[in-house]
Amino acid sequence: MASSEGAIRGAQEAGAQNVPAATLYLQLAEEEREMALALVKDDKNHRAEYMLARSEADAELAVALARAARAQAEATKATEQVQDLKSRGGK
Amino acid sequence: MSVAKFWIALPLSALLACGAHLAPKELVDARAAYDHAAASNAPRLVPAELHVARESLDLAERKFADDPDSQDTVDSAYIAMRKAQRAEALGNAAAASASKTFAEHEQTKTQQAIIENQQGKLQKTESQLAQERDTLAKERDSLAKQKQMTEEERQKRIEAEKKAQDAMDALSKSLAVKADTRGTVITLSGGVLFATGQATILPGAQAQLNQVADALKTQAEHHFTIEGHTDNQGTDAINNDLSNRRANAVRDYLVVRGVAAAAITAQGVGSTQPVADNKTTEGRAMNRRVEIIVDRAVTARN
Repeated sequence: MASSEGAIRGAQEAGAQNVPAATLYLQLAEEEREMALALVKDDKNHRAEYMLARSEADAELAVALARAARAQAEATKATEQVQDLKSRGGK
Repeated sequence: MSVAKFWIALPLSALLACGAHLAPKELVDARAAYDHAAASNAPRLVPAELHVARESLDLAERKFADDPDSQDTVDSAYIAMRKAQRAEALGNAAAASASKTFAEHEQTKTQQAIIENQQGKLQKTESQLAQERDTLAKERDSLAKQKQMTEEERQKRIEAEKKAQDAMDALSKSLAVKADTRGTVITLSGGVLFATGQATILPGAQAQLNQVADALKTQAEHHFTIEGHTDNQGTDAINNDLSNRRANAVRDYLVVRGVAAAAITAQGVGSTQPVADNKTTEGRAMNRRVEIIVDRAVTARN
């Protein structure tokens, strides 16, 4: 239960809700966690464990996608700066 | 329907439609996701994460082998798919991070190159400026020296001219000195210089000639013409010869006294240029003379 919650919080802190590619998985993780809580209430603990594992997996994917998006944006910016510098330096 | 319920419901319906031993869609997707990740940056940049995905897929495969129709198999396959996608995303993040690092390194190198290029240009400009400053300084020194030399020469010329003028003024007190179109003419009486019919300078004339020599030496930038003149007594041949010899005798004496030989031309003109009437004794005496002409023109002899 805690690992799913931690993964979701990690995804939120990574800004997954602001990255289009990651938003879906963060949303899935949150819904799956809610479903797991409901399964626990129904005393379906085995199914609840798998649902939490799915939630954790989705949240971790959201984190990875957010991280990749940020890294790609930074790389693009750095590359553009180099190209700009080279074009200005050549003049 | 929520997103999660959709992902759960879809594989269940697929399983029911396709038969018990057909791999669930989640497992098929998990296999594809793993293959996709294995073909991405993941093996090279995040091999540990890809290994986790592989183990997750293996677990799903075992679940499928043990119980193909179970929800555990579906969930395990779902999780395996996400692990594979995560590995690929982390691989992409690592590749982007490396790309960023490379770009930053390139940026540093480019900045360094630009700085070095600008420093090179600056050094070249400074070198050119230093050369120009040096050239200007030399030209200034040269001009100052030229100015100094010109001033010194001007002062020397003024002093020489004053000395020459003073000498000529002193000479004019004891000898006939006049200016005409040829220059300054010093006239020496033939009777004082020579015995009748002779071209040898009399001892009594040497004082006068010494004074003339001293004056001429102050006229270093001038040329001198010495002309011998006679009266009209005797033949022209005799008078010409006599006047010529007398002119040269005076020339030789002046040279001995230190006047530059190259500065003196001597010639006899006989009786052709009288200054007085040859019919009288006094006139003839005046016509027997030697004229030393300080030419008006200044030469560059010195």
